[in-house]
Amino acid sequence: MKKKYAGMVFILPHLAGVLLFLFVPFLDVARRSFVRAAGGFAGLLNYGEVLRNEAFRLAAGNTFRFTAVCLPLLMLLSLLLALTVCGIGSGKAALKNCFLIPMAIPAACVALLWQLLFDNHGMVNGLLTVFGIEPVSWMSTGASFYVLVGSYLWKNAGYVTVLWMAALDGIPGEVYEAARMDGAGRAASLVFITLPCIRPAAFTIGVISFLNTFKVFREAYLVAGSYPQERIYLISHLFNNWFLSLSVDKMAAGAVLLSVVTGAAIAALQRAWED
Amino acid sequence: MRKNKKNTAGSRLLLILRYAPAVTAACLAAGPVVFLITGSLMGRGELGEHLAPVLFGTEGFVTWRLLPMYPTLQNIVELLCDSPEFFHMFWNTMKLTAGILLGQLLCGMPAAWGLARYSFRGCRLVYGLYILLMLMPFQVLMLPEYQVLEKLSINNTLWAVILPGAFSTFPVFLMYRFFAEVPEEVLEAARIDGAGEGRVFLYIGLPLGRTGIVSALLLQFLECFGMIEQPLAFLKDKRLFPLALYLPEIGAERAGFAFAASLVALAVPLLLFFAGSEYLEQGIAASGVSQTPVKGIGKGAEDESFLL
Amino acid sequence: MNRFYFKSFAALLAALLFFTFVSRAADSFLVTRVTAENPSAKKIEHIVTAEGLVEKNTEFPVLTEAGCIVRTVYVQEGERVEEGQILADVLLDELEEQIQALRGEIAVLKLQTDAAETNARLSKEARERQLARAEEDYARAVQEKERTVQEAKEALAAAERAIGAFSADSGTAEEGQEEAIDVLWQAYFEKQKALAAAEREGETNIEAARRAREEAGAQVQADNSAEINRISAAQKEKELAGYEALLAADGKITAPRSGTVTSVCVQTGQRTPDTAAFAMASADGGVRITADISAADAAYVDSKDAAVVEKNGKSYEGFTVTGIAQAADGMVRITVTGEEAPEVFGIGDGARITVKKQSKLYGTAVPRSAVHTEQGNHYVYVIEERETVIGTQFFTRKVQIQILDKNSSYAAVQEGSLGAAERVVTAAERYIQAGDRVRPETP
Repeated sequence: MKKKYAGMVFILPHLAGVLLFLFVPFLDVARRSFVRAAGGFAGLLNYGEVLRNEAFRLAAGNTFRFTAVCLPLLMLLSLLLALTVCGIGSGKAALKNCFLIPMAIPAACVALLWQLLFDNHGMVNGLLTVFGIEPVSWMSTGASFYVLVGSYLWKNAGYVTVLWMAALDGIPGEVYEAARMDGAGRAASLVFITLPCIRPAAFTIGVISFLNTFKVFREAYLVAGSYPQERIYLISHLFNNWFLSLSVDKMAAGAVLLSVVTGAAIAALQRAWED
Repeated sequence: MRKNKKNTAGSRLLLILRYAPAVTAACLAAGPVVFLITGSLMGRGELGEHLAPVLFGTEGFVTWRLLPMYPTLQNIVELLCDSPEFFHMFWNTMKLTAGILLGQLLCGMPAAWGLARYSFRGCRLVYGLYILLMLMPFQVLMLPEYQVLEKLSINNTLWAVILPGAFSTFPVFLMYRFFAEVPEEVLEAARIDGAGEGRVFLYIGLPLGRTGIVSALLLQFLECFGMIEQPLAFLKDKRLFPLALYLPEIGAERAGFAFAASLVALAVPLLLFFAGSEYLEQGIAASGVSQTPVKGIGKGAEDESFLL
Repeated sequence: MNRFYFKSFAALLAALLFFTFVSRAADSFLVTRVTAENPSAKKIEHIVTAEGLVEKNTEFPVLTEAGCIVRTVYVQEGERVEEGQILADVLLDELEEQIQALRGEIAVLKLQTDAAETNARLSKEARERQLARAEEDYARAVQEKERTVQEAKEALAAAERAIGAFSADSGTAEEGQEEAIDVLWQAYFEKQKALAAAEREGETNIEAARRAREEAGAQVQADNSAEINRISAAQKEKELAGYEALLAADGKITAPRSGTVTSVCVQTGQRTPDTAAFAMASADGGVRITADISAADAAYVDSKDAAVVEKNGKSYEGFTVTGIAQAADGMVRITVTGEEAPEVFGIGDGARITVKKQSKLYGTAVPRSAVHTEQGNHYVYVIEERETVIGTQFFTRKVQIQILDKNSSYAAVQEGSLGAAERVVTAAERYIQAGDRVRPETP
């Protein structure tokens, strides 16, 4: 096999599949976004309709708020946790395994448990009353947002912590030795060595976590159904409902918008990181 | 900076403080599993007692006991011996998983190798395309994918979930990183010895890149077990549902059974996860997280106590 | 790979595979096997059997002329006689006297008949003449009336004219003229009265004439005593013929067919009755068998149904149900009669009667084993297919039915409750209830 063509041969089957099942649909979506459902060119009409759509605004706002709250929170919390764990002498492996558990559990397994915890008569409320706090109606008020955030953090924090730990392990120990010899204190090493070194990792972790924010739809759907409380009505819910009602044109325009925003966000992040 | 006096009260306190966050986090992480275990050991009566506020709307709140008062194997037995539907769904999930993993092995692996080791015309384009598609949430492609599947007449069969999943680009990306790390000299040496590209791939690339392959497969296994959006959208026939769609349908009245079923459902990916966790770490480390992707080169910052 | 965890993973998968089979086995163990059938169109056959007794074979009477004096009786009860055999004879002298008497009676009747006829004819003629005269009178009365009325009318008219003329002549009324007018007016009134009187009288005359005519007509009726006499005469002639025949046979009474004498109704020296002189049981007549059956069975036996009789292992066709009557204890006694050879059926023998009755064709009938009863309601179990997650499964469903007719193997069901394609559970390996999972055997 000639070396020149080897690459193409290797990639061909997969590429074919990708084109068929992923790329062609993507192009089709782009095409449809400019076409009316009943046929006929529509220009930017669909986009306008989508942007004016109340449900879309609600979902987009919620999703944006969710991402803006969760991502930094997740990365910060897990980083802190990773920093504390790194100082532990023994038992790291066991701890790591524990941290990975939530990621490994399919969302469907804990859905019932989530319901029992956050029901109006659920365990969380029971706990609150023990401390004299008023019970909160979790799933039917704005508090559902915090339930979703909590669910996302629970699932991803351990995994991200392990990632941070791997990143921290990657920093050569000699650098710290050198810094200590130069008289740098703990805080100084943290700020000037640790943080910069994990910067590239932060980007990757950020991207992975960002992709995982879309997966929170699973928990939300299993616990609260297709039409949950307002504050946790996400883009994923919207698209799912549009899919079920076959609102093709809106979906297409929305999908293009979503991919553009996502792509732009990541591209901007990448540029910001690279500087 | 090790503490010298290990036996003072202060050092003990520090030790506790050091471990506290991690241990708390670990408990929080593992807590639900403990719940599931205790719940599955409780009989109907006891569960009814605890869950009465939710099931029947009585006053008060859901309570729990860490150790069941009347432990019973009733739920396990019911799950294992009396529920053919559960197993049917479980094997559905396994079929989906096996299909997707096989697809990844057969098509994704060579693709990652091809991208990593060869530069051919348009390879940067393909690379960019793969990244782009990796970033797309499922909902974007949901509808047109549905129509492609419809045209192929595989909608409402397991293939509708297997085929798109088999060509997912994230695993390719993961494996690519590892294949990229293989030193070119080793390959050249093999080529000089007369090995064709195929042999080079099979006998050198694969073993050297196995970390990436295993971690990609592991992550994909996990993803398959938890998949909900794709089966929900493409499968209408309840007989084809995977476990992830069957479990939520078991209501709170059969909580004990639901817990037992969830336990079994999570034990499978979890065990595999633990089995391959070291590969996973290396895999994740290699995907740009760490600067020393291959473990062992250079002493890392382990044992550095950053905060305390 | 961490060996321990990987081994556990593999072990778990293997265990799950194992339990997959266990749960399927347990599941199929719990499933009841049943047999099922579709309802079919059937005629319900009701078979009623009963042990019966052969009663007297068909009897027939031996008649003879009444009023003769029996001289000798030659047979006894229970005796078997051949056709033509002499059973008894009568005194010839008596017989001849009776014949003569009869002849006289007939003659008298004949004369009476003649006289009556003549009388009838004469009176009829008289009556007709009377009627004719009455008609004439009537016509004349009508004419008379017309004439008198006409005269009176003319007189009246004349008086009127006179008055008119008088008035026209003199315009003024003078004394003498007043009187003259009065006279004229009086004459006018008298003429009016005369007209009315004429009319009345005329009507009366007409009325009288009409009545006379009716009476005359009413009397023209036939007198049928002659006819009566004639009929009596014919009857007596027949009697006479019978007696004459007996005389011709030397006064001997013979058996019309062979058979057994079952009763002797005459004695030497007594007169023969006008009912049967002898009763005989026919030798080759029919057989009569009676049996008692329950009222429930009797519902299925009707008159004129065909029956089969078994005796000594042989079956005889050709019997018909000829009698159904209430018997003691609420039982019903049925009688079947047949034309079979009676050598086999001696009186008092036992025989088994079987009556088969086929009902009309019922569109929906199920085997009896499929029907269950609870508190008077009947129901069957029907197999329902349901798609479940692990494939097609079968469940039972209870369906209430109305039974139109049944026998021991089938029950006919009211149309509409069971479709022809539905499968009805006829047997199950254990007790089943509605909603149970079942596995139907494929026949």
